[in-house]
Amino acid sequence: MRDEDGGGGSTGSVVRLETTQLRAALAQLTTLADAVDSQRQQVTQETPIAVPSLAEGGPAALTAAWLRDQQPGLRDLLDLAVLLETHGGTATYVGTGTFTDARTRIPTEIVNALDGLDPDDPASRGALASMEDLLGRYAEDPEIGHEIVEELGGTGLVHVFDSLAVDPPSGDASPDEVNAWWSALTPTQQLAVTLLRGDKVGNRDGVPAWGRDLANRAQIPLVRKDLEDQLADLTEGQHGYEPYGRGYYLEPAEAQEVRDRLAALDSVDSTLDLGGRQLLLLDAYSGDQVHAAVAVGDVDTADHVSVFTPGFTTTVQGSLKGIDSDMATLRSRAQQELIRNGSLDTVATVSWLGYDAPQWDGVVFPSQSVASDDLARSGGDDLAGFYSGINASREQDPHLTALGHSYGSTTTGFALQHEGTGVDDAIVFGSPGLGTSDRDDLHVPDGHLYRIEARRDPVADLAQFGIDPTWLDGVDGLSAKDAEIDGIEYQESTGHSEYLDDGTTSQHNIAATVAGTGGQVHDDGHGAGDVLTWWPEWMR
Amino acid sequence: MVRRTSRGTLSAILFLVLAACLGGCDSDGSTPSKESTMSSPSTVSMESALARYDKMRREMIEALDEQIGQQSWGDAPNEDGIIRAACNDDQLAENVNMRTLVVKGTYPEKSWKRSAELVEGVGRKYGFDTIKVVVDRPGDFSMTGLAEDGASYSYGLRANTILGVHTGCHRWDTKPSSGG
Repeated sequence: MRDEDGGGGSTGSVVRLETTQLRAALAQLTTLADAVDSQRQQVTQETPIAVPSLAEGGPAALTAAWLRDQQPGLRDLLDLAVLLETHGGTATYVGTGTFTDARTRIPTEIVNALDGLDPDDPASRGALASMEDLLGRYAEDPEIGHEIVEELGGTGLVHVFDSLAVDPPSGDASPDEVNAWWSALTPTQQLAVTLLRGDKVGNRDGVPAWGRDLANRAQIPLVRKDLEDQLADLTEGQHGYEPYGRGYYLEPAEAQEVRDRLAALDSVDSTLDLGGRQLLLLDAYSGDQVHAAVAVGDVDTADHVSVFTPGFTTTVQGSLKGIDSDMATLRSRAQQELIRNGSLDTVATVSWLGYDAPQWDGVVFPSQSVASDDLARSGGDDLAGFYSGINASREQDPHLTALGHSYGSTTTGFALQHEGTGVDDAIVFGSPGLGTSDRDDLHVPDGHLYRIEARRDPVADLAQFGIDPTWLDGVDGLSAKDAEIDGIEYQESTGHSEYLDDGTTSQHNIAATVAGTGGQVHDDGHGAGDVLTWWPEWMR
Repeated sequence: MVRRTSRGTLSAILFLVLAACLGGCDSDGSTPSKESTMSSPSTVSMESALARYDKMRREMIEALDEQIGQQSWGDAPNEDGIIRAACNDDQLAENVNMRTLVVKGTYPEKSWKRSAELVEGVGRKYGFDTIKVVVDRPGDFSMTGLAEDGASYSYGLRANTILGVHTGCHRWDTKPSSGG
């Protein structure tokens, strides 16, 4: 090779680059610079007389600095050799062989290499993966990175990422298997997969929260566009039919369903805009309702994670914001409990609206009715996978708490009947039943399954889906009553919908359980409704 | 195997519908009734509300410092700033959990009740008229003050001492970016 610097240009003679020699030279350059510096410092320390040539800024120090200054240029030359390499570790090109010449050629050669890749060809994928270090280095180099992006253009970049993206395992893979696949990807591949295969990884249990979040956020504009197109198709030409008079046309029922799905996307969007959220689930198509799960905090790093499942009449468009607000406050309360107890642990709280909760308009349909456990049963299957995915996606399992309210507690109950969910604590509140009358069916450690029942909450005494949890052996009662101090009775949470209200004993108990601090206020008493739902053991 | 109770479906539906309405179902279908997020948003801006609650906390701490004993208060290290959340009744309003203030350690237990009275007294000046004592047992005390607009503060003592504030619904003059 020619090793003098200065001047670039495409004219010159044939330059021959040996990658082995260049790698060795780069290594020697580093060793040599380190040796000069080290010797200079050692001699300076051991010699009582100051030697000007060894001082800071003297010839020896400048020599070491010069040697280090040559490293980026030599690195460029080596990268060019790798990009041009045809076989046997040798590359040739017509040029000057200087560092500047090499640097000038690199963007074009990177683009040429990327252009030749075929996303469907495994060999191409391998070649691209081997270029990752090189691409990463120049992506951070403003000068060359800019040139590469300019030459590739948007389509070219998508093409590159498409080449890196690989499909996840089939849908029936376990969260552990999905995580094994994810972990085997390089960081660039993970990024490519989240951006270009978001519809396939955003909802996959076992993918870390950051990946799910990125993938699902990338899906929002695509899903919105698709739904808007559907709505345009459904309403096109409808203005011609006006059975209710001029200007009032009959819109097909499907159009309202699409509008509801678009409203759900709006709700997700505005919740994410609040900041500090992760979108762990977004499915606008598979159910009667849009499904979504939003975390407050970082599920990948939090020491304590809770997953809340709501019940009857909840939808993403109508309920997500309110539930997310509850979860934001619950997170604050749980973190306050931790620090009050001397711990600096962190908390993430998830609002899981990942199933079709029963709605008013489904009451008359047996399979969609709030009186049927069908929706809870199928939702429970998905919820169990979601729980498992949290543990599978992390090196260290968090303390995981399942929370279920009303019909959502029944869904939670069905989820907890799956083994291996990793749930450490569970609280059901205002529960009409857990889908079983046998505590042994619920895979939650002994002493860690709780129920809360406020006074005047008739739903909690329904026992519609298994016996009333109050009578289920091995389910500990937590209080919804307020404390009494100096003979003054303070307010308590009552009814079906105040369990998470700020400042209530029930909210404190839920926060203390999520935080894992203990210190809950217990209540094993029974109300009038419970007496009505008591069945002898042999009838359960 | 899951065993189901044999109940009449129609009666169950009627009971659930009744229960849901008793519980506070609303027209948009959301089950939880949230005083804090459903209450009408205040005309006070979020910036003003945060400044006001910051002042209230300073007064609470001053009262505690003067009458119970000087302590070093700081931001909770396990929180990274305010947490914003939406309000249902007004698309433009939000509620905020302010970063909790913390003392490493606590006061002598015999002065806990007095300290709670001091906090409560300052809180009442700022409209926190409803006091809920959540936990009161040896070595463990926690109370919450509630205001009409859904705002609340929490004061708790155990290994450490905490003072948190959750605002009611307010609109921002200048909405922060998504980062916080």
